[in-house]
Amino acid sequence: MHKRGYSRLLDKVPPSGIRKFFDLVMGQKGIISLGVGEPDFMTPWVIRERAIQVLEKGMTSYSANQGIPELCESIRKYVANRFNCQYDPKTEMIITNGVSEGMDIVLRALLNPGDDVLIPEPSYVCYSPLTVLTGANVVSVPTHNSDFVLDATVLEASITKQSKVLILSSPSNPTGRIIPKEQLEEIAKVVEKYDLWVISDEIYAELSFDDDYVSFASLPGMKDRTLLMNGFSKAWAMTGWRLGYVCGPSDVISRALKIHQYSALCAPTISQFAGVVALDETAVEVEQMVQSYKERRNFMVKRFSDIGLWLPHPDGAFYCFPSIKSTGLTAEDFALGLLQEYNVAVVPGTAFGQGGEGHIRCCYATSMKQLEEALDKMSKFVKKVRK
Amino acid sequence: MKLEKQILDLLKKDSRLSHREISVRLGANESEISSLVKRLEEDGVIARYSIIINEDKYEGGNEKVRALIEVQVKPEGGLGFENVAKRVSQFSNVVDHYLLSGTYDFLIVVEGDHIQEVSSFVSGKLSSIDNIKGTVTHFILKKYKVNGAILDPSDSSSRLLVSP
Ligand SMILES: Cc1ncc(COP(=O)(O)O)c(C=O)c1O
Repeated sequence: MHKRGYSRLLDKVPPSGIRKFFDLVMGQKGIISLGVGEPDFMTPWVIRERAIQVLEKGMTSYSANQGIPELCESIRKYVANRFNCQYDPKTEMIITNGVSEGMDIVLRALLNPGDDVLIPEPSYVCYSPLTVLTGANVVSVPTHNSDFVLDATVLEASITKQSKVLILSSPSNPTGRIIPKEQLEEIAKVVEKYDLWVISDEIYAELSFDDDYVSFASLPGMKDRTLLMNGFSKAWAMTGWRLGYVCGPSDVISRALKIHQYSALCAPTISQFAGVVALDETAVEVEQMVQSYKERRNFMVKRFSDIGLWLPHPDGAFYCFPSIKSTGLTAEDFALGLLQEYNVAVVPGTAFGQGGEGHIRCCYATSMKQLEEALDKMSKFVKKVRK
Repeated sequence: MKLEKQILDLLKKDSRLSHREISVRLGANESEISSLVKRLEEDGVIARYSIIINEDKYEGGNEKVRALIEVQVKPEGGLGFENVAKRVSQFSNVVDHYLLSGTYDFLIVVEGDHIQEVSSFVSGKLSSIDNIKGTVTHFILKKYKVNGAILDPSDSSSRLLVSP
């Protein structure tokens, strides 16, 4: 302990619930893990092949801060075709080190100490800590009374004078839920009424199994208020490449770019070149991966219904978020018991905020064989604790 | 994607899946899957359920020898290649048989217990068929990928067991 101390803001950030569970799991052998947060596919070969070529040619320098123009152009086309949102690749876009960095620089570009950020809970783990680090306050918006889909009236009830930013995440990590179009439109009205910014984390957009995906930025009037976040980690199985992007109004983008140029300089150049191939040439591979997740999703829905655990319908991503309330255990005790007695790892819902109590996150991006075994074991565990 | 196509894609990867397992994964009901599979079988769309053997790992059996053979054929008036094709396909040594565009006409895959069996098949049986003008034989030395399956995937993933 140094006598001058450390960042006070950082001390406000609680230790990670994921980290805690990770340490527990690492101590045990022969685990079947439904606790991962990434695909079980390898990056499609054509993308890897391009990276190898780029390395062979020695194209390993920094790129422009904003990103290489080829990738900006591919992103422009992709976002326009896929989500019906038009962005100027020169002034309305930054290529980032994943959505993680994008979230950080956008929050820092928008917020002042004392501002409020509305975060629907349970939420992905980085939103709240990155908000706290700007000096702004987190206002959690509960979603458990509306099957984990943000409800516009609940949102409105959470608004304060200081409310400035709303973070949307759909499909959601940890719940797998997607906010349907009608509900997005209701949310847009609240956003308009209270003059909010929206950060829309759409990293799982491709993994939408039942309906066509609607981007929040594509709703009438919302493009000027929305920072659209997306990336390559999930649908292209590129988590280790650290590649994502932010699209949005140029006044915010230019400010976020100011941070990015000093704190990141640029996204990995090799990944950026490979990203062009990902967007331009891998529609078939992505479709196959999506189909495979969908099959596993269907399997999970069936098995949880057989086990008798209520499951909010997992519309997308590769997570499901069953309720374990009927067992009488807390999320953490359930996850611990399952780990210790049956060697199956899941993440307690409370790792994603208090709104996740009574639920566990199960990631089904793992082989069918492992899923079958894990669910057989979970079924036994549930029977045992219910007795 | 059409349900039939989805069923075929699943069975291509694992032909041992039960109709029940297929129905769960595709979110359809089991009887619908059963009747579709039955029809695909009856229509001959599903010609056979088979397995892929990685011979490098199979010590017990006597390893078979395989060769790819390019065959040049003189097409017959009115019949084209069909007559010759019928005769070639009949041999039990012939495992696969294709008509190709390009510098030769048939590509056939021939299997035998040893090199001599394949050579004598080519010189004795194949070359003596009328209208077969010439053959080039390539013995297969090693298989890396068969029907979409990489036989010895060496890369392995090293995912963290728990991550955000
Ligand atoms: C909802 C959500 N947003 C962002 C991320 C981080 O993605 P990236 O790898 O692009 O930083 C994740 C990763 O788990 C996620 O689940």
